[in-house]
Amino acid sequence: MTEQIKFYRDKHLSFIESLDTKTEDYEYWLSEHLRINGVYWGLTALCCLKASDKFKKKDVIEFVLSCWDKENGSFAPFKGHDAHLLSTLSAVQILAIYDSISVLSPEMVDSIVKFVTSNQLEDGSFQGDEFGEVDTRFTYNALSTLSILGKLTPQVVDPAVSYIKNCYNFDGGFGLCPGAESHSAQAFTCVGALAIVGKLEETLTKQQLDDLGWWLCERQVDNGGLNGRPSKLPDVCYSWWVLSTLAIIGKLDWINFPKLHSFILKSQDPQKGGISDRPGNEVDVYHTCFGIAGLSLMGVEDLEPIDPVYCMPFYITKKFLKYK
Amino acid sequence: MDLLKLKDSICFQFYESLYLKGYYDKCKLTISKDRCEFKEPILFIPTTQHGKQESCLEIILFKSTLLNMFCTSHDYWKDRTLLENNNNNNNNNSNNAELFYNYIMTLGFLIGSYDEHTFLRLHEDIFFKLLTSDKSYFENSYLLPASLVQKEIYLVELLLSSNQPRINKSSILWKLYQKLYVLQLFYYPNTVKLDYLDTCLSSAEAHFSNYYCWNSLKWFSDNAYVKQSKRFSNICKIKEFCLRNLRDNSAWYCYSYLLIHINGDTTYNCRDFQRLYTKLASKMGTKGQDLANKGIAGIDSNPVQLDLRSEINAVIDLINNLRVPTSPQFNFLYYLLLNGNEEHMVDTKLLAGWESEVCDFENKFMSLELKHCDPPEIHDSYNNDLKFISEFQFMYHLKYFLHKYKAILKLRER
Repeated sequence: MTEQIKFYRDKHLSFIESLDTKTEDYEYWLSEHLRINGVYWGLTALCCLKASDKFKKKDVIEFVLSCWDKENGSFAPFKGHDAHLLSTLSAVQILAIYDSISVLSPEMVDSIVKFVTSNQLEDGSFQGDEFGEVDTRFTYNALSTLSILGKLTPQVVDPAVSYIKNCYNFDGGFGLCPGAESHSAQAFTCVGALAIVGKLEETLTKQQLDDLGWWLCERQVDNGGLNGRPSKLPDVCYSWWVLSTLAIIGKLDWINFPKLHSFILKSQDPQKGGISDRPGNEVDVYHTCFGIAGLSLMGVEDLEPIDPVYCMPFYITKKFLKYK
Repeated sequence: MDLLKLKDSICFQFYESLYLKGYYDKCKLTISKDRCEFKEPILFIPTTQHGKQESCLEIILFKSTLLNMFCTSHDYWKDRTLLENNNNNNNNNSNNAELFYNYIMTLGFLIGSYDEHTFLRLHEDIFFKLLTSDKSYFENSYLLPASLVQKEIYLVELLLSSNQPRINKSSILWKLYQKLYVLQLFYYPNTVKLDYLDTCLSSAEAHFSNYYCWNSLKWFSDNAYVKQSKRFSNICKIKEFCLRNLRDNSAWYCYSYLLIHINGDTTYNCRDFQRLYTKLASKMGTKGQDLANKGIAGIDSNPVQLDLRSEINAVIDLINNLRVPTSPQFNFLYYLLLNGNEEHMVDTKLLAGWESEVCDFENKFMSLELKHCDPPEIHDSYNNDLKFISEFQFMYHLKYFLHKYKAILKLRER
C-alpha cells in the first residue's frame, strides 16, 4: 500500500516567511529582478493557506511603493529597476490583496493606466516594456492590471480581444503570438484575459472551447503531473496554468484530481517546506505558490478558494468592478 | 575613469578572453560546475563535435565565474547614480571610455541572471550608443572580430546556444537577437555575419523543445527578406533535426508551419519585423522606410517548387515504420490538413487501413476509449511489456488523430 503523503502546511508557512531573510545568498540577488513577483507569489500562497497575516502588511506595502519607477510611471520589480507590465501587475495584485489600492494617488493610477496603454501596439498586442518583447502574457498583465484598477475601456479591450483570437491554434491551444506553438501558460493568459473582459463565450465557439479542453487535459501524464506542451516533463507550475484554464472554461473535471494531487504532494520538501517543479528538485516560491493554488482549485487540503481568472482569493476578486 | 580597475574586473577578463582566444568558426559555450583542478575562470578547449568532422572550440565558464561576473555587475550598478549618468550621457567622445566601461559592466547580467529586463535594456541602450559614437576606441585590432556589431552578435549567439536553460530559452535574449538580425540586414549586410539557422538549431539541440528558440526560427523564416531558396534550405535542415528528434513537438510544429508558409507570408511576423526596423532606424538616426512598399530583396529567378505531397508521404511512412508512441508526427499531419488544400489530405485507403489497425488492436487486447480525465490504463498483465506499452501508446495517439481528422473531413463535406 502506498504511503499516504501529507500536506506540510506548517512547513510551507515557515518556508515562505523565511524567504526575505536570506539577503546574504547569491540566489536572493540573482532574483532581484523578480522580487515583486516573488512577493506576490509568496503572499498568494499565504492567502491560500489562510495565513496572509504572516507577512507584515505595512512592510510589504512600503516595499511595493519603493518599486515605483518615476521615470516610466509604473512599477518595477525592485527599487532602481525599470517598470514592466509583469511587475506592474504584481504590484497592483499585492495592493488589492491588502485592500490597499487607495495608497495609490489618482496621479499614480493615471500614470499606470498611461504606462499600460502606451505599451499596446497597433494590432492590439502588448509589449512588456519599451524593449519591445511581445507576448500574450503581457496582454493578460495589461488587462488584469486595468481591471483591478477599474480602468478597462473599449479602446483597449476590443483590439486586445481581436489579437487574442488570432493567437488561437489549430490544436486548440494558444501561443505567444499568431502562429506560435501552443503553450499552457499562454492558454491561461489568453483565456484569463478573455474572461476578465467578459468576452470568452463570444470570442470562442463551443467547438473551440472543447478543443482547448482536450488539448489541456492531454497535458496530464502517467505520474499525474501536468506538462506545458506535448512530450515535455511535468512541472508543478502547470497545476495552475492548465487547471485554472480548465476551470475558467468549465471543464475542471477533465483532469484526474487524485493523480495530480499526489504529484503535487510528492513535490513538497518535507524538511524545509516549499514545493519544487517536480519530485526531488529544489523548491522555490514560484512553484510553491502555483502548487498550492492548484490544490486550492481542486478543493483539497482545506485551502482558501482561489479565483482561476485572477489567481487571487475569491474574497478579494469579488470586489472588482465587472467590465461590461 | 579608472581603466586599470576596468581591466582587473572579471567582466573585462571574460570579454577580453572571449575575443582574444574564443573566436572560432564553430564555438560552444558550456556553463560548468567548479572543478578544483582548474584555476582559470574560463577555459578554451579545442574539440571535435561528436560525429562531425569540423573542429569546434568549447568555452567553459565555471559557475563561480558566472556568479562573480554577476556580483561585479550588480555591485557596480547598485550605485544608481551611474545608471542616471548613463541615461544622461550625451554621446560625446570624452565619455567613450566611460561608455565602454558601462557596457562591460552589463555582461554579468546577460550571463548570470534570467530575463533581467532592466539591465538587458541597459545593455542594448549602451550598445547602440557605442555604435553611434566614435567606434575606433572600441574596435581594438587585437580583439577579434574587430567589428563591434560582430562581437555583439557572436556573444548573443554563444549565449543562446549554450547549455544553460535559463539563458538559451530567455525570451528577451531571443528578442535582442532578432533586433541584431534587423541591424545586420539593413546596416551591415556585407560586413557582418549572422547565422540564425545554425544558432537556432544549436539551441534546439541543447534544450529539448525550446519554445522561444523555435518561435524565433519561424519569425526569421517568415520575413520577406529571406530568400525563398534560403527558406527551403531552412526547411531541409529542420527536417533533418526532426528526424533525429521524433518527440520534439516544437521542432515538428515549426517544420509543418514552414511547409505551409514557404512563401513567408505570415503577416504577424512581418509586422513585428517592421516594428523592430522602425525602432532601429530611430536609434541609428536614419529615417525608417515602410517595408510594405519595398520589393522582396533577392527574389529567386528560379523559385523552388516544394513538393508538399512527398513531404507528407515521407512522414506517413515514418509513422507506419517506426510507430513512435507520441504525438508530434500526428500533429504535423493534422496541421497540414487544416492549412493545406484537398490534394494534401491523407489517402482514404490509408485512413481505412489505420482504422482497421486500431480495431484489430482493440479486439485483441483492450479498448482505447477516448476519455477526458481517465485515459485507458494498461492491464496489469502487460505492465512489464515495454513493447506492448509502446504499441499501446502509439495506438492511442493514432485513434485520437483519426477521431480529429474525421471531424475535419465531416466539416469540409458540408
